Amino acid sequence: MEGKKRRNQIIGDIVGLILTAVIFLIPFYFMFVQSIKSKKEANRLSIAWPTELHFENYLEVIKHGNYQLVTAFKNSAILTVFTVLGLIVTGAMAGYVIQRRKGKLMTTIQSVIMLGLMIPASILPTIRMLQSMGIYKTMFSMVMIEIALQTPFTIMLYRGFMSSIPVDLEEAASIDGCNRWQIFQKVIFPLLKPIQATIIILVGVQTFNDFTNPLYFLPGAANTTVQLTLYNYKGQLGNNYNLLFADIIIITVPMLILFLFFNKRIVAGMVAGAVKG
Amino acid sequence: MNRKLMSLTLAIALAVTMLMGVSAVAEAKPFEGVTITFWGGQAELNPGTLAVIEAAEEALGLHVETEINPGGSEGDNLLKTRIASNDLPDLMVYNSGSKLYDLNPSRCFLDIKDWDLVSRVDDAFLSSVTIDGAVYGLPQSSTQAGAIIYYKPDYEELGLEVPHTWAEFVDNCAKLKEAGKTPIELTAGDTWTTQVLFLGDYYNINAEYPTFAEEYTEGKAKYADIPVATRSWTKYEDLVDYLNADKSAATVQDGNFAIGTGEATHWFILTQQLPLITAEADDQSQIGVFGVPGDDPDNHGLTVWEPMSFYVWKDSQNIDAVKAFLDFYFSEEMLNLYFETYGANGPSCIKGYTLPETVCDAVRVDMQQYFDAGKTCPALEYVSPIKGTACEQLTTAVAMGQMSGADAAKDYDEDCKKSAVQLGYNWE
Repeated sequence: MEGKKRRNQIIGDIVGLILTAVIFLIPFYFMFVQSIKSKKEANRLSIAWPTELHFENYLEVIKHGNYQLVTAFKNSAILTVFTVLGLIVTGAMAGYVIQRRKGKLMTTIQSVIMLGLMIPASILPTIRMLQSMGIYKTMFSMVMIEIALQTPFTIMLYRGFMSSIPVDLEEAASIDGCNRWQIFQKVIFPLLKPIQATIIILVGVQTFNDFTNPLYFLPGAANTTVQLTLYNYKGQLGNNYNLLFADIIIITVPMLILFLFFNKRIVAGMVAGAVKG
Repeated sequence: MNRKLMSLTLAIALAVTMLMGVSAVAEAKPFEGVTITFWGGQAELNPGTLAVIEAAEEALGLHVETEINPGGSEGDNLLKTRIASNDLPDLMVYNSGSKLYDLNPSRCFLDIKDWDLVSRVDDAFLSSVTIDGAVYGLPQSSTQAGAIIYYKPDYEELGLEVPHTWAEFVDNCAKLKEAGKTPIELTAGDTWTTQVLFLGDYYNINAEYPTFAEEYTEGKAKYADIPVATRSWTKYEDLVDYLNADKSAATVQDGNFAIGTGEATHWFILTQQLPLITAEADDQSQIGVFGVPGDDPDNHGLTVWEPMSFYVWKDSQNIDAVKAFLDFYFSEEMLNLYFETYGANGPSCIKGYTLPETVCDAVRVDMQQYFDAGKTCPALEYVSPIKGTACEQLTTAVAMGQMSGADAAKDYDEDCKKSAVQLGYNWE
């Protein structure tokens, strides 16, 4: 009886693994196969292995438009890194204060912040404001916009996680002679590691993959971000699928690495704040 | 010691760069150091355009910074946002005709009617970029037609002739089907393509009912009431039996492939696809073009679309450089370079210019003969601002056999009425 149950479990595991492989690996295989085909062959979009290999597609994508992709990667990297940094620092502090202090003021502040989750950004007024401040079309303004758009979500995550950290720790630290800043910096901030990982992934992927906001708020050839480079190969009259997929693969790799790196911690961070409100 | 070595190297490096700078100045080009920004979609930033840009950078010394526009409705939104925030590129490409009207171009584009270049462009194109006496655009590419692109080897194999009436055309389709071929490719996966038969049939309406455009704009001529106009819709019904099996899902990409390799014989499509179709074919001479046939065998013509246009930003800091770039672009040598690299969609709109030998026969022979015989007519969208918004949905429904042509004509009249009212016309 016991043995049968165990066998069933193993079979279940195997079926699960195969299904996962099919669902997650086949799209990758499909993209990869297209990316090393000739233009003619790739446009047929078959899953078959190419008759001749064209690894130079990757080189062509990188060289396209005077190494546009390199510039785009630089821009996207700067944008993503500074957005994530900015959000981690400000979000953690805001979440801490909002969770620990009670009172009318905090409730009001919190509901204002949460409104940001529901109200979308309007484009033209934002552009006018940036123009009047003289920072339109700068990376600085783009980072600020990304931070502003993602602040509510970040604070929400931090606040939820913060409630799982016992207040006793702070009291102990206070008795040992920490001032308030030191309590946050030396006791609370290090304890936030699981939620930091979650936020790095979620915000990082969101910012890196963001297409519309950079398109509107950061125009100009020198400001291209990686998602926009895809449009070099996709148009109304016809596509260059081989180059398009080569570009997609190059763009996917950094996020994939980031994901593999932080994968384990994400779930921990998401679940940790879920029980206590 | 180390420090001295370092400063010495730096000093030498500095001297070398300065010398190089001097030698560069010695052979100065007129626009050395000027950067102009150029905004276009993927279709406009094709290898032909890029080759000309490279040559221009070489000859004029300026630098052209290209920026990609995603196109479609996303591209339109973006353009309108950038017009509203008064932040356009020095030079950009956009539609001519009624879509240009929508932009209210006087607030953003430079009036170029004084430029010498304008006199070299033919009148049909100019009328599509002239608004209230101001000229805004120059043709980015060549003209194109809404026509039938066909695979010639099938015609040779069965000994068929290019049809000059609709009945002959349907007859050809029947023969092709008998021989086991797919007579017509329909690519309803991209719904805009299904309109081409309807829009491309305008030559025949205009031939029989020359005042149609005018009366239609005033709301007097209706598709459902005028027999020749209703024919534009019922023609779809004749073709239902001859379509490809994957008609509802096939995309433009599939169409390029199907015609290029002879999987299907005819395709109602804009000839802007020709460079892409011939790229799929074994040899460019296998691909041919003829206009949508009407009922009069002696009057078989072509409905013509004007190309996208170059527009110059009114507040650009580099208007001189842009003008020099365009002068260079429209030199005979550069036009040849463009058409040899990319191919052409139809005859050029530059007066007195003939396309180079390398352009495919479909354009140089098949399409040119209509132009030489004067049997062309601009598409309705260049003569009337009114176009029903549900056009592509209706043509798709009729083409798939889900709706009769007569019903579609009636629905389309209703649809046009809504558009007309929105544009401020009083249709009763």
